[in-house]
Amino acid sequence: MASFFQEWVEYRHEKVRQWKEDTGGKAYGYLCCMTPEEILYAAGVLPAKVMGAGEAPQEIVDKHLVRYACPYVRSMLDAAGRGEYSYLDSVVVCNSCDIMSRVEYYWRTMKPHPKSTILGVELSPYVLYIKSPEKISGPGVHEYLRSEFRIFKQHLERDTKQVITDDMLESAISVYNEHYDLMRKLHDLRKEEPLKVSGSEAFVIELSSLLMRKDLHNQKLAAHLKNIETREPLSGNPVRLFLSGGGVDHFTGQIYTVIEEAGGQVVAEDIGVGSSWFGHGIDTDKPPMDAIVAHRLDVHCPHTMTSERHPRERFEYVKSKIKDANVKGAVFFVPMYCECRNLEYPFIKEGLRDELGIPTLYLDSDYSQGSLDEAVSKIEAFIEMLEE
Amino acid sequence: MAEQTAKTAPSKKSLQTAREVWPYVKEEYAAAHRAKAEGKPIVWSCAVLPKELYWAMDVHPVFPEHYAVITGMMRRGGSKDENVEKEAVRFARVAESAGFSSYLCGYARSSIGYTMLGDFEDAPLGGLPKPDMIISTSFVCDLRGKWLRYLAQKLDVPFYVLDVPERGCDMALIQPGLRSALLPFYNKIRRGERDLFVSPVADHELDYTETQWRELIRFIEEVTGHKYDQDRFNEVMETSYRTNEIRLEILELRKARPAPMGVADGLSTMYPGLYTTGTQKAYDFYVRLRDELKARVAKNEGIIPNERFRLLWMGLAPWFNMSLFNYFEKYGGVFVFEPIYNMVPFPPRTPENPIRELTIRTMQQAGGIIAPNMVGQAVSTMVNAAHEYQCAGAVLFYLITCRPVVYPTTEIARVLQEDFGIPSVPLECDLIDERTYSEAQTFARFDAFAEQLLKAAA
Repeated sequence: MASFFQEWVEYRHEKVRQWKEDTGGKAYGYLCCMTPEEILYAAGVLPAKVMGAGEAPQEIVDKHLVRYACPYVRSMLDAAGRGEYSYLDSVVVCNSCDIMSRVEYYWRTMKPHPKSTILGVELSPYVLYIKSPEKISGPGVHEYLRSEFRIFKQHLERDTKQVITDDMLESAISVYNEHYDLMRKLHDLRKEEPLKVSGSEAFVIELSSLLMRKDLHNQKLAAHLKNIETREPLSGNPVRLFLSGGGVDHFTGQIYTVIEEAGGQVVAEDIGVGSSWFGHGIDTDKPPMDAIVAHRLDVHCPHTMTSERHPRERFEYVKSKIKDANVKGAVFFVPMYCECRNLEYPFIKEGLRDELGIPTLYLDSDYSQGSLDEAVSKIEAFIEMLEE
Repeated sequence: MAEQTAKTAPSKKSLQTAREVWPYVKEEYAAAHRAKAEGKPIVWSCAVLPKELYWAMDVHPVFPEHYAVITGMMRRGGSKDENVEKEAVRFARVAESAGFSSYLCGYARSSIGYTMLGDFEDAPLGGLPKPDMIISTSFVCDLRGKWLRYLAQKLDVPFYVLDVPERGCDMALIQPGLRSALLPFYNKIRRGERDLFVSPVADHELDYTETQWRELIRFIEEVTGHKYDQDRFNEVMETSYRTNEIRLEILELRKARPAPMGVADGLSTMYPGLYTTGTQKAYDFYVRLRDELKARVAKNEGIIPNERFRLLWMGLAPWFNMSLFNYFEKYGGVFVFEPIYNMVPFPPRTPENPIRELTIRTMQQAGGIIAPNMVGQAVSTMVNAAHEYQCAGAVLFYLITCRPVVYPTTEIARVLQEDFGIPSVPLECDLIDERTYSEAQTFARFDAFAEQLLKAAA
């Protein structure tokens, strides 16, 4: 069963292409968890996470963007420039950080994709930019993001030639809530001792959920969770770790393996898209669009900020992720030039150390095999220290 | 990063008014300390946020960002000994040892290190007065919100971030209600292959930004007890508007040949407008500057006697070594314009709703010349500036520690060269951390560039 999820991750391009061929449906790429996936799902579209390739050289992106930029995003753009994502019908970009908000320009420039125009105006741009707010609380923000999502929905309706009704949104919410429930169950299993689910297995399951329609993922995950219940615990006595990282893709997936081979297990994480918003489902008592907006405004990623006068929200969020997980140490595996993550690190590090007695290890990653190789000895030494 | 081996020096200013800036700055810092002593609320804020509200609500703003510039220019105890590192480096080392990466903005590392050391007075100009609150914004860069949030966490003072939608566009300036032709040159791109992407400001963006300003007023009222007074705010906005009109006159005068005012003067004289706009003092300063420029232009007097080629500067300033702006003068080259810190035409005064007026200005500045935020905007800003100021080449600041400035550099270089045949050369370093600067590499690049431009001119 696990190989089902693994296969979707490994052969993601082929799988999405196949889905399009089988269903005649459209696939939209997206880069950030602020993307209202449920609206895409309601329109019958497959939302598929865009990922980097983690390969060098990046000759195409080098012609447009300096190397002093997030290697994860550079890699995604290079893959786009090479045509790896030519099967996508559209790409959704959010303002999830300084470089992400500029991906709209770079994707348009590096891989132009003409679409139908009326009097020179694109009816539905190929790259759809959502100006998501940086602040996720306070007056006006809900109304603002709802307006952004309405514009997004309008473009999507034009592209798919249909009206997306509240009923359609409610059905999508129901599928997504089932997904959030299942993922929560999976993450709760990782708090148990002894462990039955490895961090790398959970990560692959989560990653695959970003690539396929959620109803299919739900069906497979529900069955997989039953299998897990009957399985034997993992062998050994791994050191339980919290992982804070950058991009959600197979490259980040490899750091789980490095940790496991060094005698550790990631039992909780904070890695951008994915589990970041699995804390709760979407409110079914609200009008569906408002419910989706409220859900997205609960994304406590390193880029977002709150209206708190004395802000501690990111540390509190990390605390909530590791609650009951019996974490012994925290590893930060951060892409170079990720200012949002680097700027919050010292405050979180101090909090983990002073309030919870949890030591941290910070590793820069240039998104190359070299940075993974370099991480091995550092992680081994860190785990060794925690075992003492 | 390369350790410093270079000689660094201030720039040689051409205008008398530009030489008045340093006393102006010192007086501002002295005034901030006096305000603190008098019990006036002190706010630490940031450069790109309009300042008019602070003056109107009688809170005294100081700017860690600008203070970092001071630390990038001064050594400990005012020493002139080149073996003594600049204060910015001393403070940055403290921040880096706490886990802040060396790829972060030098301003941020300097002010974080300064704050972490906690000895506020043991620093240039007697340091910064301690804040009663910290106010930042989300626009221009991610860093300024998080950096000032950390300072608020460290100092345990109330924090507010003014959120502004991050807009993508290929135009440098789109202001709601603007009735002027835009981008005369960008539309003439020779290849005819480039699409122009336009994203006008929508109502909900204005509404949200206005709400953010109104919340900021509420925040200041709650922290200080000072009440917002619309009449007082209108007075400040009026002064600010009139100052901006003078600054636009200055921008026009700077187009003259030979260039009457260079980038060394331009970057120095940004201070009153960026940090004290809305005050009578700033207005008077720019009137003096305009008058001096007018007289120069009337006399056909340039920065140097024999101007052979004109250069455009892109980026913030390498404050630790402003003498670079005089480097090309030996070749007859002058830096004539810097599309940064300068202002765009303001929307008309709207006394019945000055907060909405400020909102429109904020939206326009978020995407305008003061902060060419998105890549397309930055490209069109440079293309327009190169033509308006008749520049033969551009020096692009590959500001390796500033994402919004460094991101568009490759595209600017490409479009300038491919579409207009305007060559450019990079300068790679931080703005105040001299450890990142290589003199040999910089001079080699600049010398080759000057020769290329002279050959083209011949």
